[in-house]
Amino acid sequence: MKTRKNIFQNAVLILIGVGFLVPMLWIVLGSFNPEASQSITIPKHFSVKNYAMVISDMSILQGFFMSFVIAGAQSLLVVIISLSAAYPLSRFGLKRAQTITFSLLFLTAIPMTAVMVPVYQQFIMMGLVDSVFGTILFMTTTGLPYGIWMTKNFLDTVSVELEEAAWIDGCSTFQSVTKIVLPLMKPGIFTVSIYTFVRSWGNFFVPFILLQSSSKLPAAVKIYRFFGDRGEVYFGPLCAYAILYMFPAVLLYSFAQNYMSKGFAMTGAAKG
Amino acid sequence: MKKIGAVFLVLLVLSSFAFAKGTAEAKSDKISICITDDREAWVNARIKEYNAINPNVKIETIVLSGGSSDRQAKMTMMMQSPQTSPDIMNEDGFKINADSAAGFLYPLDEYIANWNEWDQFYDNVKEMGRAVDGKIYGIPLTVDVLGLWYDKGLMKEAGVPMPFAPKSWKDVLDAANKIKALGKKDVIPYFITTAKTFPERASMRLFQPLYNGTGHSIYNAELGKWTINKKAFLDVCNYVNQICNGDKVGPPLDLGVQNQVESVIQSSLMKEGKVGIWLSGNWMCRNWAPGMQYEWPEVTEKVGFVPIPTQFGQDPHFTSMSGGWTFAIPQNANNKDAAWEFLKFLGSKESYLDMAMRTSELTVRKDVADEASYKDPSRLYIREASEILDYTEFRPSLDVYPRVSLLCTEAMESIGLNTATPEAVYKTFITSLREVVGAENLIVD
Amino acid sequence: MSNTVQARGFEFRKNSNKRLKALGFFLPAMILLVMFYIYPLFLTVFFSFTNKAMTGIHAKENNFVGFSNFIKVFMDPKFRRAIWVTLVFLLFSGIIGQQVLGFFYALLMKKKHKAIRRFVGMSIIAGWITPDIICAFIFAAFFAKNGTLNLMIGSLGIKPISWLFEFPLVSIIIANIWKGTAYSMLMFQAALDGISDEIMEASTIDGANSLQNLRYITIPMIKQTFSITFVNVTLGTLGTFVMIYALTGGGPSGATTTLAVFMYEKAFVAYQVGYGMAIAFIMLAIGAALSIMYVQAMKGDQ
Repeated sequence: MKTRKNIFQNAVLILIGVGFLVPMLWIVLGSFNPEASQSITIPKHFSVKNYAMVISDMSILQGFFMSFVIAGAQSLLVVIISLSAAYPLSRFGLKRAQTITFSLLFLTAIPMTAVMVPVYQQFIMMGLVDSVFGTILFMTTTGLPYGIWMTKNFLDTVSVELEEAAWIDGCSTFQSVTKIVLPLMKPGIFTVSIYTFVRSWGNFFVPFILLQSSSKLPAAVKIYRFFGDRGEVYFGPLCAYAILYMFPAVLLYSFAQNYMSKGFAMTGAAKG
Repeated sequence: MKKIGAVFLVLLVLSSFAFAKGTAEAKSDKISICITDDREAWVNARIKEYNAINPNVKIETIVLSGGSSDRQAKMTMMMQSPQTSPDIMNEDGFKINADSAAGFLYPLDEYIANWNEWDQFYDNVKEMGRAVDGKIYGIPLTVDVLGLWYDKGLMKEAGVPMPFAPKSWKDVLDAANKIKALGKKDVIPYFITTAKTFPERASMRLFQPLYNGTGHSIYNAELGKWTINKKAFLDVCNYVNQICNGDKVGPPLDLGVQNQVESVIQSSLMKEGKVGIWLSGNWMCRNWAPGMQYEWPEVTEKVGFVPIPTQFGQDPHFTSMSGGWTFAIPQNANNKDAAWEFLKFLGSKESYLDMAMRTSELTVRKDVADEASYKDPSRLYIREASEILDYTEFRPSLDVYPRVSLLCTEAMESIGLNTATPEAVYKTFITSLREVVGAENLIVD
Repeated sequence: MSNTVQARGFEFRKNSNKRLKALGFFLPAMILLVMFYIYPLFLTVFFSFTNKAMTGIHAKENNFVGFSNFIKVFMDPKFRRAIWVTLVFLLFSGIIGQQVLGFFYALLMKKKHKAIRRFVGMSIIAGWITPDIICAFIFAAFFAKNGTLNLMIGSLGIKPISWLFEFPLVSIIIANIWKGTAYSMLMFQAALDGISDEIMEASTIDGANSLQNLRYITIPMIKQTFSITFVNVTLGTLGTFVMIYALTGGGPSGATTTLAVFMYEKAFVAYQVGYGMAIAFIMLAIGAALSIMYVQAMKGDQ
């Protein structure tokens, strides 16, 4: 229906879309400009020197790898553990289910920077400093409040009758979950995993505090290599680095986009 | 529900001990050194050399990047326990006192007593590593000085007698005003830092050198008290006020507060002749050297570097502030003896000469400073910077210094932003200072 | 403890083991949460009652100081300013910016061409996916005197403005909106998709125009979503730190110092851990209070 209103609305939409992309312009242009500065300039000579500089730096590549490892592992753990925790909250008709889920969310009100001071001491006590495993555990934990809440809402939308039917057929709880619930929850699982992956991918402070060895530091921490030690910034390589850094997250997201929108449908519409 | 609560507690307690490891065993052949990322190349090179002589010692480098407060916080946190503490820590000079009071550092006096190279270090620079208890906790690594960068072209054009050699605060201000009179667009005659963006900057790079230039100092080490002279304080405020709000030769405020203002000055403003005078550190020329980020082949023809004069040119005629880095051995280091052995190597003449060659930084050793290669003109402005070393002072590295420094910065910010008169700034400053250091530790006259 | 279970028709084969079974499922999450979240939280609260510092004498020995940190905080004019800045930031970037605008975009996107939906969707999501630090850089350049925004308004004949200096709060609000709108938009999009077309059609046939449809049908039907996004956006915005600090450092002169920035300054720059933890504790209380308020508000109208 091409009414006037529709065309107007479409135009507004496109304007919004473009508007959101405008800030990115600087970073894209800067990444191809060896003499990039803060102002947005068309590079005199387009060059991939910045990218080359970033990619050829072993330490940075290592950083990207570690980012994958940490973000990926914690994402997997969050999904599994959230599922396990959300199952009773959703299925067992516990009186306090809603309250518990909600209270978990409050935990996220405390700023991460505050928590890191006692966490560091705790990690020292437990011998987990400079341990990738420890960092993954911690990132997983901080992803749980939201993960559990989201997963519970997804679970709520999967009808219990389906599971009951499976039980009548002789399936155990575990089988009914894996064979019936999980496939129906694919959008939800994707949503939770992408959400928590992106959160960890961009996180600087936690790995900065909990890790020491250069080989274990993820890419987010390595970004500071583009700063002189007294605050100078090397813009060109920084832009290239930023583009490369955003790339995997964007890729992952576009891959999962279909699932995501369905996933959010479940959180939003759930009456839980 | 109570049962569940009990289970919680048990789990909690158990889990706390589940992963606890014992204290790391000291291996006689393994040490770790924590450095900032700009020292990485140099330290790795020295480690290679060291291993050629001592192949059995395994040296791990822990490189920290990050914003400066993040980094300092991380370094401090690392020294808390033997599991996480490195054996050598790259310690910023001004934290020596705080960290030694916290018990994080190990006194090096005994080691130094047996080190014949200690005399090669400049006397005043040695003090950087000394804490209030009189012990030395750090071997100086670098030192930097403040001075006045100036644009030769603008000075000439403005009719300032060359070479520019100001003998008083007024001389500098007059030169700035002459440059302003040229009426050139977008030129900043006298760039000073009043912004709070980097909390230490306005304090160290503006307030303190000026205050010292009045002949007073904010801390009296002999008495162990903080001292503020009202007239001196007001003189500083009035001078800054004159620059920013009176004659208006200071930087536009929106430029001054930017995070990357110093990069901008180095990368474009000075090159374009847009800055007349810049009160800043000697290391700023680092990026103008050949092969560096903001390479500038003609820099020595275009830019000069002179000491900051005292208020009226009175003795000692010039003033400067120095910061610097040191190497310290943490109290919780596992392998102090091996660390010291490496530290001696790292602090040797060859090592420091090597480092000096990589950067345009000042050295802390007399013998390195005498080397011809050190004095080579390609090492920009070394001669000028070295001369300033004689006049320089160090920040009072007390426990409470960071908070005092913040007050100085805030004072400068108020003047720069013209949100308070010098009198009001003085009142606020004294009241807050009294609260921070304690009335019994403050002398006001 | 009754043995019968009424939970949406769910019949248990072993009723009496319900609690135990629930605990079993919950165990891994519980262990992690207690160990790494709740325990540190207790420590944070504990530290707020001491004068612990990161370095200096009080790093070695600290004393219990009771409520004095809290008293100092409440008397500190900078704290009051931080609360004000935080509230303004929350209201404009969180509620109005992300939520209301997100809802608006979601509405607009309804039933539009797939390509347009894809394009707009991706560009709004781009902000969400971008890590905080990079966001800060993007906007440092965007708001710079010689940056993108000034270039744009320059073509309209307006002189360049130093955004980060003259309008710092506006700048961080814009940056935060750019970063976070995607979440609200996605939530509302999904919720709107859940409203059946028949209801809308029936209402339109009855003579309602689109505005009335919006007010009387759409909004009430997605009340739950509003409540949830309020809570999440609020908690998220309260915790925003990296982007603000990297963009403005909390300045100029405290203009953009939110509670999160204030806390960082006290704990990591001035090394006063006890004081910083007191601020963190207050933030936690505020976050919880606001969330409860929202939920009650939404519930009450039902």
